[in-house]
Amino acid sequence: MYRLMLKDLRLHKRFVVGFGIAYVIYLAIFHSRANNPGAVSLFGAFLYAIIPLLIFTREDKFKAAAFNLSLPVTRKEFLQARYVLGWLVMLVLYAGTSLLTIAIPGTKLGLSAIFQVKLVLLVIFFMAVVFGLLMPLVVAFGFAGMIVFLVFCQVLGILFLFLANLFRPAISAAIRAIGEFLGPVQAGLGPAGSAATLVVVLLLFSYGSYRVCLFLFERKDV
Amino acid sequence: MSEAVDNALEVRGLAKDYGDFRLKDMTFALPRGYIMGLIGPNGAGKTTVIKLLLNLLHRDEGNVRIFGLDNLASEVEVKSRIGFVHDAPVFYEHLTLRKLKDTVAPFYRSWDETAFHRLIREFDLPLGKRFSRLSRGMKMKFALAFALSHRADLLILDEPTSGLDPVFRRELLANLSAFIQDEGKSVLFSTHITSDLERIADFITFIHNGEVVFSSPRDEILEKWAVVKGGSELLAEKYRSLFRGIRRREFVVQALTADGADARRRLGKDTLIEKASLEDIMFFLTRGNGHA
Repeated sequence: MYRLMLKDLRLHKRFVVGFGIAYVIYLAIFHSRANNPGAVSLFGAFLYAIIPLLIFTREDKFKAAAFNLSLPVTRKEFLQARYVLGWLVMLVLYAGTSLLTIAIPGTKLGLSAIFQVKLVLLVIFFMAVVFGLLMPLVVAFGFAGMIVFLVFCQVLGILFLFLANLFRPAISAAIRAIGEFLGPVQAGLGPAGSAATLVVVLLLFSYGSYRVCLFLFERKDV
Repeated sequence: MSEAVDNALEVRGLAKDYGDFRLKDMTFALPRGYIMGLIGPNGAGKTTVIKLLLNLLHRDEGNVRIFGLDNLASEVEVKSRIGFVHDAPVFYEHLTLRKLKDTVAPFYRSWDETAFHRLIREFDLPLGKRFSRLSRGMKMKFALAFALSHRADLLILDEPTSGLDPVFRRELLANLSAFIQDEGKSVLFSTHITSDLERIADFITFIHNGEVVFSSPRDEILEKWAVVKGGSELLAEKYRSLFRGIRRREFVVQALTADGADARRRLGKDTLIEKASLEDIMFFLTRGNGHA
């Protein structure tokens, strides 16, 4: 696994370093000017999840899939390395952005605002959701899969706005109902229990995404 | 030692369905220490077979054993003993040859750095140059150097000589011949340039429309198969079973037979019977319109 990760890093070094640094600076400046740490952190989480996927889809550009898979590795190892590398890249980007946000002169977000346990967990959870949803599409369809997902999100967003205007009372009631259901559950579990539950859900979701990817990848023709 | 272990490669009942093309019941074996040519016209299924051997395609049926090991169950061990050269060598185009080597060599436990540098010198390859900037011939040389440097026991080459000049083709064939001098090394070599195989192959597997037409020792094929040239009497019903393909011109009928000796006995001295080349065989079996 280590050799595969090293190979990907070596192959995409310029992209990772160049794009990663630009991304971290851009997001840190954006974060430091915002008043709402939750909203910007979640927006950032979406972008952190996209970067490793962009790295993986660069394989389409190199047309190197057949060569990669003729190396003495199993497809399972190949996929495991991608998941681990993906998470490493996301976490490094998140940590880098957060630390730089605090360091920017005149930042509106301090250490305590950025590193609230609840917010950190939410960011990681959101990254896991985006990464976990996108990975199977990238495995099955490459770069096109990612684009389809992003377009789908845009269309869903527009549809949601349209429906929100049409059915505002019903949607508000639904959101309230979810809140009312989760509120007592969260209270019952306590802060530590809620965090642990979130981590378990995150792990299960990521494992599910990995299993779907493995199923697709082991049947994929290259 | 069992039969399976004596074979470098054993393919049984391999099948793959693409919808518009089906590879059917592919069965052949390459004994250890020999070169096998996989021939067939374009679109016959040669690349599909090679990709199935390397698990680049998901097979529908059959099994593949390489050095007695199942190619899926023992994928890592099998692949570490195979040197693979693609038809259009694909490496990471933007890296220099040196960086390519540094990136890929760690995957092979048996990587031989000395052999790699010797081959790089022998093939006159510039280590500091990007792979994308090499000519097709140089790319092929690099792919070959790479395959030979991890001490592969089986080389699998997919159309390595197509698009190459005759000088490099001869060099490549000489390298392959030298490779199998090391006991136990084997080569599977797909091509539609049959003259290359007449020089070096020990076995020939001919595939057409996704099926194995024959898989036999080259000398046996060249000894047995023949082209019969004569008049319209060759089209007679009694000879139908003798021929595998017939071409009819205005005054001449040419036919391919898999049993030249039998043709000589049955047709007598008045008919011209010549040994068939692999190209003749491929031509008649794919373009000779059956039994006329």
